[in-house]
Amino acid sequence: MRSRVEGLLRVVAFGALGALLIAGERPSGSGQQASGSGQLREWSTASAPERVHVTLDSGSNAVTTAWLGALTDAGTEVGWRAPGAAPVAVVADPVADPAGATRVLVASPDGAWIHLGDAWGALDSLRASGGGGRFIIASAPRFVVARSGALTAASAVRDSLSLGRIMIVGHAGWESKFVAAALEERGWRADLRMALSPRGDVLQGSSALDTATHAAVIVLDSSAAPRAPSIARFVAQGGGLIMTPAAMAVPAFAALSPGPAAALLPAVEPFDTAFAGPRQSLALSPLRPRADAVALEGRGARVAVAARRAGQGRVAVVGYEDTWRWRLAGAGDAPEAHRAWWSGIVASVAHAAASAVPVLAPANEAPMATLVGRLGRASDPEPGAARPRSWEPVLCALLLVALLAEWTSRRLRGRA
Amino acid sequence: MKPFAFCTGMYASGDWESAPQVPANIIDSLARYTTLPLAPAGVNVPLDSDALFEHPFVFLTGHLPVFFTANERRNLARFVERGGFLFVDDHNHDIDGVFHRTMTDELARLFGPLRLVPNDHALYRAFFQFRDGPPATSHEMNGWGDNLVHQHLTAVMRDGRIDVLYSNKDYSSEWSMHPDTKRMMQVDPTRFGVNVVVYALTR
Repeated sequence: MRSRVEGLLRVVAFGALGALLIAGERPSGSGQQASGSGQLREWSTASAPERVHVTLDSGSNAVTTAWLGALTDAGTEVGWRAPGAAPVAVVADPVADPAGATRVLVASPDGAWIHLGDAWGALDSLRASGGGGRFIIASAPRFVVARSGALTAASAVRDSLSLGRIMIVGHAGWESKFVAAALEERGWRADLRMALSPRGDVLQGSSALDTATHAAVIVLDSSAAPRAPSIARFVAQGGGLIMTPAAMAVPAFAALSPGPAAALLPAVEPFDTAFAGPRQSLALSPLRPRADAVALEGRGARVAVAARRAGQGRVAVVGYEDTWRWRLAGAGDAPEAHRAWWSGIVASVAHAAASAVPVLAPANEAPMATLVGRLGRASDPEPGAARPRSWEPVLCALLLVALLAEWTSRRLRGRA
Repeated sequence: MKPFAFCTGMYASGDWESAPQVPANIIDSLARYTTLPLAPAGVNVPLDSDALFEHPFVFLTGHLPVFFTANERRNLARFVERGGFLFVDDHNHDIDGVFHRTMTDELARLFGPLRLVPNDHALYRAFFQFRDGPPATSHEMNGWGDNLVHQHLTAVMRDGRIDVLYSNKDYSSEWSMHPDTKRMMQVDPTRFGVNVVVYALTR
């Protein structure tokens, strides 16, 4: 009986010793990842550490995050940190502009530099303020990459827009002519309704107004009053409306407007052709936006352009008068700037049918949020290389107890 | 909104002021037939001044040789490139006259050669209908000047739109009358002037 117990104790001791030796072969403790995916590959194939801690650099991307997430799922405890990483996020949307522009919004801590690029290289950069930055890219990239600090965010453009026509309604005059010219030169297709005489209007293009054919309507004055019901219906269905303070004399338009306009401030005469801010010389009726409106452009403390939602559509009011003077008399590239500005105003309200386009590149719009969501909060590595496994002391104790009991049993043989 | 002002261009050479009654006559017709907001009197603007860019419609006429200065050329090129409309009329009604030869040389130098305006162009239906193209003037019918009835106007066009309209028909003489005189006429000869202005304002 005694020899059997001693044999059992030896088996237990050797078993515990073997388990401790095998466990000792598996790495345990803190890993440091700073040079690409080599360490990740080793952890995933050659050895599966129980616990790692990685330091992410600017080369970290969605693949790294997914890889670390997979290690977590496989049982490895993953800790991480990203020194200097700003919680950057990016989203890119096509602008309703025939020229094919893309609007990129980047969230980043104030003061951080944001570098924007696409598949061909760098596009632009700016210093974040007000919680991020806004880029308008003249081209139509399929995806964009925004880097701020150590993290890089990528966003794919997922929609393609189908743009309808623009209808311009007003008295025949230089403003209607040059607004139409600017938009047509930009690529918009424009229909005109110009009041010209008691015998009738000048009609060019389509007369029907609905969101299937038109993206927006521009009302330059109160001559559009007879069409106010159809324009209000168009806006309620999702169409865009741009109007001037003169149009707000029509109650139906005033009800849609982002706010009333104050008295007209006269233009700078003679028109300042070399003025740094071209619209600074234009006559302006400052706007007083309603609570649900947003100011799109200002002149000092005054609001020059404002917009609001109305039904499913959007309505903007342009407080400037005779913007054609800027195009004709402005310095430098005034015609191009006039075209781009008017197209931008139209784009801010235009109805555009979107259709999905295939996403060719992996997107990770908010890498910091993805990291936290996948791996938990960032943490500092714990001091010391190893932390004892919870079952190792038990095995050690069991080994000692078994060996002591077996030794004691042998020493006491023949005494009992 | 600034009202439409009929603007006559002043150039350093020649006699830009040869048809002083034309502006008042065209303004009278615009007020008579349209609801356009109008400046009550025409304005005269030097072609080499920045004030040129305050008036997207500019009328040029004269009898004498025309040689633009460098500043006039620079301003005119910029004016048309930015969308201004230039209406030039040969007050001589003579294709062998000095105004025609020198002015067309200047325009060709600035904008390229003038081309015939087809008689079904939008210009001829911009307000009144002129099914046969430009209306003939009494000076053409009387055989004065080059003794020709010009069937077409010429123009510098961009994508079918007229930037510079050139006439050999001597509308400067045809429209040089006191506006009240039109009441005694069977057909108002300035109706085509209304078409030119409305075309410039709407196309």
